[in-house]
Amino acid sequence: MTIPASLYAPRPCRLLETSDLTPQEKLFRLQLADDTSLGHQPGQFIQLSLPGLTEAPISIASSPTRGPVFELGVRRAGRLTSALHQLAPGATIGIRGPFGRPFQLDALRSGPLLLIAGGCGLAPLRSLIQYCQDRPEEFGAVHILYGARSPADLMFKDDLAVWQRSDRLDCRTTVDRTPAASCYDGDTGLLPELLSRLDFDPTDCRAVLVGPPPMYRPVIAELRRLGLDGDRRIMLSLERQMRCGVGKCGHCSIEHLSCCSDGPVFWLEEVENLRGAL
Amino acid sequence: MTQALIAKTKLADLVSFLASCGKVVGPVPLGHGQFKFAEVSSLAEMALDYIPTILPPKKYFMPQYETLLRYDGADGQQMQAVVEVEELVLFGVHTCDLAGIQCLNVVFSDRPRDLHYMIRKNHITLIGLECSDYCDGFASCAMLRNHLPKGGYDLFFSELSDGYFVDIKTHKGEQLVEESGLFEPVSDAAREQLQELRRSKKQIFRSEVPIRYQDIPRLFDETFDSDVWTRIGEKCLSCGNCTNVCPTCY
Repeated sequence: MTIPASLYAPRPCRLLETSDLTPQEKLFRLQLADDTSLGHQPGQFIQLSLPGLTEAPISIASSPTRGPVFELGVRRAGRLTSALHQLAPGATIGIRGPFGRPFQLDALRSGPLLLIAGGCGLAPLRSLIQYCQDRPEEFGAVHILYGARSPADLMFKDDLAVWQRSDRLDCRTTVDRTPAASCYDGDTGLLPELLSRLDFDPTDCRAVLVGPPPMYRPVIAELRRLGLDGDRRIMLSLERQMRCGVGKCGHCSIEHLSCCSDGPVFWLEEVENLRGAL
Repeated sequence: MTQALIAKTKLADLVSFLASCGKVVGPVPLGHGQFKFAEVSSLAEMALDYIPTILPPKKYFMPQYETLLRYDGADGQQMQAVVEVEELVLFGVHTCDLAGIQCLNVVFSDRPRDLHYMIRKNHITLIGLECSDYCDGFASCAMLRNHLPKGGYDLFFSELSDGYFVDIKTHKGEQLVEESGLFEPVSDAAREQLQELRRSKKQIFRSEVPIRYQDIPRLFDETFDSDVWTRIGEKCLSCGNCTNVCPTCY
């Protein structure tokens, strides 16, 4: 029998445009086939699918303030994402969502912001950065700190250039290593080192972290050393193997929490003492 | 009527009646001391003294394969959500499996609801069967307090000397009792026999592990880093098939 709706039914999207971000990552500009808005908030994710292949959770890399077109930054990592990287504009892609708890914007409006990303973590954080760009009157000073393995691995280079030129944003990058012939002019070293050199007022400051698991503890330790201690000071987005997206299947469980529906954005104190969270 | 009796001599007629109305599934022997839930058309095909089946009856609520969506690739991937349902009577389900299904009901009826599960569930009639004694030496039903019926069925059968005491839990169960014409009112003697069965079970079913029920979550929590999990983990291939054999996993 047919039913009017299902948690598991993807909505068709049109692929409008693709562009290379790095040798491994591409940017995909999409719009729902019925031209409606996705209705997401910064920090949420979708489940992306192609017929005959599986689904994968992908962070939404653009702000809802940019209209019905939305963007995804996707690393080529498996069968689905390899097939996705082969698609040309005009192709149809399935999505479910948006899912998950977004960045808590109300809590971020009270003071300076440290937006800290490592590797692919810049994709979800870009959604928040664009939101801050588009509504500058709602936010205080915004410091963006982005770390990658090498200059070639820096995602969203065009955006980084714009953010670095912006009067309203303070954007810094750091890489683990710089090849001899590189024209990269950012910092070299790990994110805690970059953070330690930052001049900012920790009073009422909030930090948002998105990155690979090894990034969290050293960055959190440095943030605390700099004065971001106490509740509701550090917000982070965790990456897990989300499957159902609605808190049913248990694939992304962190103790009693479902990363897909209770997260992926958490306040640090909500997950810090959960085993396997950080 | 919330309770009824059925004579043992009429049980075969009941199964035949159910089979004449639609698909009936019950515990059948596989040989080598193993059992499975499979379609039956008569009581003789079933083994009501079965031990837990290889796959729990969960497989009828959550099939290992199911079509969730239909679409035509030429139609821009417009998906049509579908539910595969069939009218089904699950006969002879023990209280442990009923408890497992109740856990699944909680998960899938919690918002956002899983319509596929909820619709399929409404097409399944559950007839439970009480264990008078332990089914095997590996049972842990008393530790988890699932050796007694706690709902989650349409009809529930408890074996007496000459018949079965039947608890009628739902309108669907009541209709079945009325339409079959095989049941009779409960007598005082039958009530007394049921009470005796429950008294007897109190002596037989004791917590199989010397721990308190309410301590189980804490004990799991405190033994998170135990070597036991390391040893079990060494055998794990991460295939996920354990979730198929577990009555409550999904």
